[in-house]
Amino acid sequence: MSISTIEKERAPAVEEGILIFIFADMCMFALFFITYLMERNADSTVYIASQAKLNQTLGAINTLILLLSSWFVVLAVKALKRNAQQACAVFLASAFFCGAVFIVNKAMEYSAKIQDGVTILSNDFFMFYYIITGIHLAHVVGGMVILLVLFINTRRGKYSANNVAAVESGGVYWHMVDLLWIFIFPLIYFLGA
Amino acid sequence: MALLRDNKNLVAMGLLLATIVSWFTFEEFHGYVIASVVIILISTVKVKAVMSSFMEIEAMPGPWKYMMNGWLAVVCLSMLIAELM
Repeated sequence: MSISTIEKERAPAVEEGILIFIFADMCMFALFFITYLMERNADSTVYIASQAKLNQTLGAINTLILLLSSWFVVLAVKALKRNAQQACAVFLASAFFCGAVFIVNKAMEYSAKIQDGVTILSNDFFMFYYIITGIHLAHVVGGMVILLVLFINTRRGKYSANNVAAVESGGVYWHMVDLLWIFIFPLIYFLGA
Repeated sequence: MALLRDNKNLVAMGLLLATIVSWFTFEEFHGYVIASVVIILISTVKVKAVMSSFMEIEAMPGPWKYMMNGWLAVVCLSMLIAELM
């Protein structure tokens, strides 16, 4: 048996179309990151002053929450591969709950900013802040819808050790949401000062 | 203890720990370029760990592994260059 055959057997059962979608999404965010960095270096004073108004503690907590949710998704896939549907559903629900906490934190952060009069039109930094974190938040909401569907289907017994593709594909999408935030957090909240 | 025997669980715990280390680096050394470089490198290692251990990109067929690693290299280098300029 060749190495490539072994690799194919071990490979997560993720549809190629999902991988294309995920990679295109990641490239879109990479363009946002590079544009942000170029604009920041051209006018760093405004960016540093604006960055100081952000709640870094809330950003750090959100990073921990998303990492924890990714861990739950990993545990859900492992449970399903053992045919433990009940445990899989519990882990998916836990990941969903983490996503909900992330959204609540983000809503608190946005509302505090808006109450202080800071909007997308305030300056270039806050334009990037709202666009990058807002699009990421939309991805979190999309990921939660996927997790909810996977949870319902798991409870109905639609997935098993022989049918893990949907849960693995949803999991890879959720990990992408997580890894994007791992870069967004330092980039927007504290680098550049 | 069964939790510690699994490689992915250890990676997940390492990721949580690395986030806390990044946070303290920011709190203690905010404004120093070296602190920014350390934070970027920690973030890059964390993303690489998510890609390898959680997404299992090394086992994916075709060019996906190279494309994902290429993406990571581009983002990491862009951040480092911008920080050091």
